[in-house]
Amino acid sequence: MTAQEVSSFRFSVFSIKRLVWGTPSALRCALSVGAGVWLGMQAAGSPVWWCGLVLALVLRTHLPCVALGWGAGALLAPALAGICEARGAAMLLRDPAGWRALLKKPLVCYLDLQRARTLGGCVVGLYWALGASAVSVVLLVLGKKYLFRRSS
Amino acid sequence: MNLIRWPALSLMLALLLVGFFAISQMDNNGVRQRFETIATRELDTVVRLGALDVSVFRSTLRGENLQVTDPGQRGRNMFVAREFQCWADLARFFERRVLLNDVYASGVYVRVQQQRNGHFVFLNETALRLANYEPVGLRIKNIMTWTSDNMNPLRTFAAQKEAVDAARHDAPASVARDALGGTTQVVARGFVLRLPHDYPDLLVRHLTLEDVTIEIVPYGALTSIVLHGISGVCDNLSSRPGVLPEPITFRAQGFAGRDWAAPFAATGMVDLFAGQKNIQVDFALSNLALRTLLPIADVYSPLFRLIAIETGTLTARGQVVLRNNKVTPTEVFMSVQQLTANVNALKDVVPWLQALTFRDSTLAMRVPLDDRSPYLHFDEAIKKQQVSTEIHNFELRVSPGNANDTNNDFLNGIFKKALKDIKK
Repeated sequence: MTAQEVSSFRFSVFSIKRLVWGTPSALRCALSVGAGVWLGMQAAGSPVWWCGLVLALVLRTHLPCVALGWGAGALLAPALAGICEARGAAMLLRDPAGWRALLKKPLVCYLDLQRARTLGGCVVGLYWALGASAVSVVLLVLGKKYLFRRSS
Repeated sequence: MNLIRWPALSLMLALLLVGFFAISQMDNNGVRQRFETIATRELDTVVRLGALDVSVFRSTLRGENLQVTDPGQRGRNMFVAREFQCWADLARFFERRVLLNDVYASGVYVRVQQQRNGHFVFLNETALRLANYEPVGLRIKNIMTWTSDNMNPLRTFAAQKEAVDAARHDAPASVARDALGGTTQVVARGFVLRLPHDYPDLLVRHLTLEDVTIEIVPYGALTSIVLHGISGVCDNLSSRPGVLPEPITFRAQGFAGRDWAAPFAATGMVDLFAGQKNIQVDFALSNLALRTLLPIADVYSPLFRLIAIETGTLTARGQVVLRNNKVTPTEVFMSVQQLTANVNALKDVVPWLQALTFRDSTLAMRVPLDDRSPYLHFDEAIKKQQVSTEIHNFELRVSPGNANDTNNDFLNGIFKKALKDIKK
């Protein structure tokens, strides 16, 4: 393989990578991973899941990162189901009157947040999403620095 | 940084609008088939719907030829609605409720079965046995819940899937234990906060019925009583009358008997708000053939089995009032014209009686009505002398009896009394 062919191959791989992955910022990638983790932890097809999906599509998230995070969240969900249930029940039982007043509001009543699993899934999913975003942003920044040092 | 994907947002809004206003109109056949499937499963009988036209834009639902087959007698319908139309309140859909401002139905046919204990049920006893010991009320409630959920265009999310998914994971024991106290609900798997129902999920503000036919099948009888040509209105019909302050009101008029012009009218009010049960019904009927009523009356009193009525028409009017589920004493005026009957069957009870026949007689009475069984007290009406009769042709045949059989001797008592008088 000649130097020109190698250069051409590298260019084409880089183009495909750029086409698929784009050039997202570290913060955008991290937030997208977080969104994906949150989505993965919700029951697919539930009202809350649909809302999250619509938000992820409408807001300028990095979709490959969302998909990666989604996979991670889906793997985590069965292990965290008990925690989600307990967390949701504890929240609902802390102020039942307040929750009742909130959950009967128009449109909110469609989210099925009176289920401990759903409410707990949203809250615990949010914690894990923030955690995943923080880890991602650190890894991405460190990775970029490492790659920059290596290339220079 | 541009945070929003405007093309994606525009596309979603467009899809939402199309879904809201167009899909329901285009997919009527799918909705109809789904309705048939669910209703057939819930009622455990075949439910067919001829045509369905749902329009979200106009907030209307129009259906034709709804048929519910009698599970006890396949091939025979127990409910038919030739045409029905609903005008809904779209704003209520956002609160996950269905408010039908106006419902119109015509050509409705309902078959009601009388049970051994005298109660009237929508399904017959065979059907009730087939219903796998599940109360019919629960099944009807399921259908109403399904209707309120699925008629709602906002109900596009698969909430059932969420419920199944939530049920897949057990709640920790501590959570289930904590949830047992207070006004909360614990399901078999997963905790769900019980939400207050301060308003009915399904409310029909105004129901108009035209050309309704009700076939009442008396217990153990071969012929049925047909009420036909019924038209009427009903207001505030809801799935949860206990939380609706406005009472259910109704008025109806029609004809009784298949080939007999016996008009009847009824108007009433049912108040079930906050656990109370107050009912008031005013009714009037005239020219009703007594023979058609006897199969129904048989169940309530064995006396009616002893009377063989050939002709006679009944006119009645009165008021039935229940205050907190207790019948308030009232009186029902009854008048029987052109009565021709015999009570020859009484000779099994009264040995000296051979035959007793009335012809072309008139009977008018004010019958007390109260909460004691059998509710209508004909015997008290006679005791209180609230009965007047005009007998044109009366025939009584008695057995004079013999001296050896003092118990069965009709004249024995009269002779003894006469002898006592002579001795004095």
